[in-house]
Amino acid sequence: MTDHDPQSLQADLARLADGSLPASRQAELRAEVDRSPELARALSEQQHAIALLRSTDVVAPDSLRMRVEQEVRTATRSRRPRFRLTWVLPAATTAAAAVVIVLLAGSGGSSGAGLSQTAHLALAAAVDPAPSEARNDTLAETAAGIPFPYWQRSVGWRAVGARVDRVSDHSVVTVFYAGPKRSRVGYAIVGGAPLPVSGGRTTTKDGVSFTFLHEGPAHVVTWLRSGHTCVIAGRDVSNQTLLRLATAEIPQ
Amino acid sequence: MPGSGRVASVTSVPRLDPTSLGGHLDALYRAGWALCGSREDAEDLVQETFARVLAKPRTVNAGGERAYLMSTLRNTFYSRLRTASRRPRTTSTLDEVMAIEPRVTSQPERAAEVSEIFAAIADLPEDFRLAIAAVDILGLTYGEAATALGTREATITTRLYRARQRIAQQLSDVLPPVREGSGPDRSLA
Repeated sequence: MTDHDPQSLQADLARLADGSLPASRQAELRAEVDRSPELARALSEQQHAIALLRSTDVVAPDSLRMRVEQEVRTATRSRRPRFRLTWVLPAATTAAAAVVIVLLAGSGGSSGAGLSQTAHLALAAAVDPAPSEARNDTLAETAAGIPFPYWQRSVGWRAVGARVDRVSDHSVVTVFYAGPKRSRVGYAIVGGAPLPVSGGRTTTKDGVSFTFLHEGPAHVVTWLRSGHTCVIAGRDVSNQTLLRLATAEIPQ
Repeated sequence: MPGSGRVASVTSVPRLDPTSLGGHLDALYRAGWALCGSREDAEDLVQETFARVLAKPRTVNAGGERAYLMSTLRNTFYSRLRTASRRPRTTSTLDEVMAIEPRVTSQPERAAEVSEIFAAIADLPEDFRLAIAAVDILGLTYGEAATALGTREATITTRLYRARQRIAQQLSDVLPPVREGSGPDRSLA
């Protein structure tokens, strides 16, 4: 092309195309481009790609926006001065003790299509070994940045296995826990947008809405953590146990 | 220090303001989509990136918030790849999950073209994708991109040149839209 080394010429063309080439070099390179059809084609390709890339005015989905806003709110709250905890904690404990359980219409319901599939995964066999304990009562397993809880100390359930599935474009990470009397549950977190929930019986605790469904003989509870659908399902556990596990969460 | 002849200079390092991060969400989502090749994975990647950044107070390095977010996006992307590669993925045979279809672009008629552009980026080697995401999608300078991606500025430039060349050749028949206000005003008179 010219007597410049190819890499520096490519760098200059890339910069000329996006406007970041110093003015002192621009005139010289433009003259070279005018003389060389090869350089003109290379520059035209750079400009075409830039125009295409800059035209992708994709916006983040509302579900992601809400989840990120929630993350920001949580982060902002958790950085308030520590002394406030002296009265916040007892207040929260009192509030938790005075939980108002709201039972909505309907005595139960089967889970919808997406939830049904997630519940099936939570009732399926483990494929991978159990994740180890990380810190702050969490396991070294996360889904969409959300850690799975370490329940052995708090409620006596231990992680016994895991699996990762991909259903359509959603990743579903499931951790299995074993409790007393050989009872077992699967805890699944679904990546991407939350799954629609219809029917079932809803209970609100500490501002979080838990919906109880059934999948054949199995009991299922679903709720949102950081905007992601979470599902716990078990065949030989009651709804009360599911709620106890779901609310034995780690702090967000 | 009296008599030492030296003056200690104290410069404050700016703290990252959590409330200002939302302004980068759309750009970061586009960068995430470019890296992952899938909108759904991009959502998870971006949320995890924000969760990491917000986990504790951060100072902003040279290059600002957006470069810091790009650096964290890249690290999170690699850490997700490592986690995924440690074990086999089980592909479920269940029917497709019904998810809420996210809004893609402010110009619905261009949705197919946009998907084509992101698919072309997804075909690029990883280093090329990162360079494109940092400079052409997030709008970082070459220097900021080099810092965020932990490489030399010259390397970024070369990768960017080659990445753009491949995209242009693959999408030679796709025309970019004419942007409002991009050209001189014309009068019909």
